[in-house]
Amino acid sequence: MINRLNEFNFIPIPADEKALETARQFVLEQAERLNLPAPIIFKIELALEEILVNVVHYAYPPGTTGVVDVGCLTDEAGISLCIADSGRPFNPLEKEKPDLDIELEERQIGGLGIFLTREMVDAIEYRREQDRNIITFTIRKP
Amino acid sequence: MGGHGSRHRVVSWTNMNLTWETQARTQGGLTLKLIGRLDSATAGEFDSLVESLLAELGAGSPLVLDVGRVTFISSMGVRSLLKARKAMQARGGAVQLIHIQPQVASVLQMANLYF
Repeated sequence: MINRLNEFNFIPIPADEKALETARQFVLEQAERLNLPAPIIFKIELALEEILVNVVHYAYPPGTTGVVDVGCLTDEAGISLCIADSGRPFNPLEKEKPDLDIELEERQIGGLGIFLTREMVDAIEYRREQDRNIITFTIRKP
Repeated sequence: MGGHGSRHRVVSWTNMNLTWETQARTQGGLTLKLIGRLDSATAGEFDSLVESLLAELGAGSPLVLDVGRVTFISSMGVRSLLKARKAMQARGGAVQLIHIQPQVASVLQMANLYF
């Protein structure tokens, strides 16, 4: 999917606390065309939140607001999203899977977001290109 | 709303909402009915809400979360539920979730979290 970025419909969004809501509205509008069932919308929203919140919190130095580009591609197979930033290199897919079996008291919650995302999506890729972090993921229609 | 043991407030970020309502339970304890989303936009408010409710709960009383109308949960929401459970366990109580919707249940299951 990362090879079809020129087909995505992108919007630039300031990477701040309001970014998720703006991105969500944009993506849901695009998804509406596919008339997707609620469980698929749920997956899209979860993956979007987990990836985007990471970018908002960690991509740019504190006190600065960069831009995150959110792209969407819908086709007969399903929906693909792209989230790209110009922040420091960060591949969330390299995060280790959280140990879900350890005792609650010792459990580290970090990494859960990306773990849930991996469970929800059908494909996910990361690429560092031209000083940008580019993540794409696809959720297929049932 | 109003009345004894009942409160109502809307937590809102543009249109990412979490509405809640509490009801005292006869055997002590409290039911917190949640409507909306437990996500990065609402988790902070939910944490504060739970913290304030702890003061009203007797030691060992359960906190029942009626999540029948919670339509979305992300890792931030999961984190908040864990936090609430830890806080309750520290007081000798427990958190119970009731009316969990299938998609929310699947996220909790993926996180290996059972209430």
